[in-house]
Amino acid sequence: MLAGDTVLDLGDLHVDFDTDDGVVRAVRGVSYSIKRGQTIGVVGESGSGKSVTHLALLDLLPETATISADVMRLAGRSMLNMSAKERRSVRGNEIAMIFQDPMTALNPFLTVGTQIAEMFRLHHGLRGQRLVDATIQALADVGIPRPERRIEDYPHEFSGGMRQRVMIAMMLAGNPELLIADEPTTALDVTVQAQILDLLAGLQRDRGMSIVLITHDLGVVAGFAHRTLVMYAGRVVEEAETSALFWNPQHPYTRGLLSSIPRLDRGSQKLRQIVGAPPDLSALPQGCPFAPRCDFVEDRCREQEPLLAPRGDGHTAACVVTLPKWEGAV
Amino acid sequence: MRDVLRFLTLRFLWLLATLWVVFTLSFVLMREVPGGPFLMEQQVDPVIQKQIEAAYDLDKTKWEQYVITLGKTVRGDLGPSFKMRDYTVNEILAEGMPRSVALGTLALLIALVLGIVAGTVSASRRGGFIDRGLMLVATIGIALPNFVIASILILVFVIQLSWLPAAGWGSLRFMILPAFCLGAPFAAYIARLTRTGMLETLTQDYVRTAHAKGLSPWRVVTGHAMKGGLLPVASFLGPAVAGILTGSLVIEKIFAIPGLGTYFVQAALNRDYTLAMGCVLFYTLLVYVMNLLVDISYTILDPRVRLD
Repeated sequence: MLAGDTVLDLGDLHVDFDTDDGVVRAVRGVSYSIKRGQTIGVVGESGSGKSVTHLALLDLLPETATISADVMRLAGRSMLNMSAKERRSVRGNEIAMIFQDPMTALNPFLTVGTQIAEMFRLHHGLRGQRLVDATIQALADVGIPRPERRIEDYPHEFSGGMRQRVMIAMMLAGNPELLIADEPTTALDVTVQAQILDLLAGLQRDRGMSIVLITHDLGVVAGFAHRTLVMYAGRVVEEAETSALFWNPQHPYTRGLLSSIPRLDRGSQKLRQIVGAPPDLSALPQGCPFAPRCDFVEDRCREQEPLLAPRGDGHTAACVVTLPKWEGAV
Repeated sequence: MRDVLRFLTLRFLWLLATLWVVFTLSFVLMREVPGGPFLMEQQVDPVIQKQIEAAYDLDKTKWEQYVITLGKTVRGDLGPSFKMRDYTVNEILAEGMPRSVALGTLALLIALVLGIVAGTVSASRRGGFIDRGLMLVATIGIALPNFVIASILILVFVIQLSWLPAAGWGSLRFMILPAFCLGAPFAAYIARLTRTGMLETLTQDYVRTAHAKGLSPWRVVTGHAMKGGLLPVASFLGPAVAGILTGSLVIEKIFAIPGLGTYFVQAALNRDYTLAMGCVLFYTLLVYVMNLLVDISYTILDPRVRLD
């Protein structure tokens, strides 16, 4: 496969949840693609659909979810008409996912060695001493000291950061093309966060895999992702090269997110916030879902929901208002 | 290792204290209940009556009897049965125990296998037809007393179909019906516990992780969800063993099995002080040891739990 090949192609993905309070439209037409070796950041508040989009990709949503899409291609193969068994063979093998809280995401009843070895046995058919060796090597690769002894330990015997390393070792055991990291650093100390991101970046260099980094923290995306998607109310509202997104945000929501990053050089002035709460996805208002919270709202915003439109250089945004020039976060 | 030794020593001392308390309570209660082992409807010659009582130390004061009996018990001698002539209590226990233990073990096995399978299937088919059907049967199983289940099963399998013997003791064929009746209510309860436990673990993050690894649904349930889902069942095993023991008093009577339960009931009715005491102490020991095993099994099931 050539460098620059598309690993994942997603077109018009919709996810609805059937609940007692009606249908919740969690994802409403998400399209994007990732090239081999690329890192994409997906940013948004809780409930913006960023996790659901990727759980849908792995077919990990509960039965109450209805998934539909025009395109869902993994390295050129469509996943849309795969059987449940074929979808399973993709999981862990071609697409792997790591989760926010490694304490709850690892099985507390099994040793980490058992949990990692399970991947090598399942996806590479390893047995016996080769299986043990591979498991120890996997722990060593993610920077866990004395791995030959730690394979006997249980998750609760590791620190938070070490636990996330175990999780990464486990999920990379299948040698995936694409790693989806769902808030991998949110549950960790700030100092440990940087170590985990460094580790992911290093592993990506060595293996040439693609990464989707889901986070609510634009700061995490800044030094890490080539491109960044901003999601709001189940849609992508802006997509651009990460630097372009920071220097020239074209959607009021992105601007709001950038302004709400705490900054040390701004003294103790009050932190800016986006007023209001995300909309109820089971009863979306007409027009732009961000309109009720938007500083630049116009009458036409409440009539029709704007679609993603190109802004040059592969930068797209879903906003019809002519925004003032961005002067940086103030 | 030192922790384990300390734990076991402590538990052993507790066992001795428990046995002593049970011994004392039983001793007092049995002797306070009206009647005695040698009171007959027909008047016996007072001289003979005196001789009998003297032979069994019953002419001494209650305190003297207590000390003598306790002393013998500590040395492992439970004395002669007051009613079953020519037998010591030790001999009767040794004869009845294997039968009761075999019956109880089979009943527990049936309860565990049926309960865990039904509960797991139920949980993974939550809300469906199979789930509802199984839980209906489980509720009936919990509600019906085992002697009612026994009567129904005897009607069907013995009288209608003639597949199994109605009563008695011998081969495994004799054990099937009583063990099933004894285990059924516990199977039902274990099924409900398993279902609840499995439903809780099936929504855990680590089960989602197991799916994300690409494991088959079967491997996810057996390899990842089951250990956590069965913890409530493990903690129920202690009470279950105690329940199966008391249940076997009734079941042994219904199916005419010459086990400990039958001897126990007779001993209580006949005021056979020594035999009743032997049975009480033996049951205490059994329940205690089972609870100890449950505690130890907990540390094997859940690595976060330590013995102390």
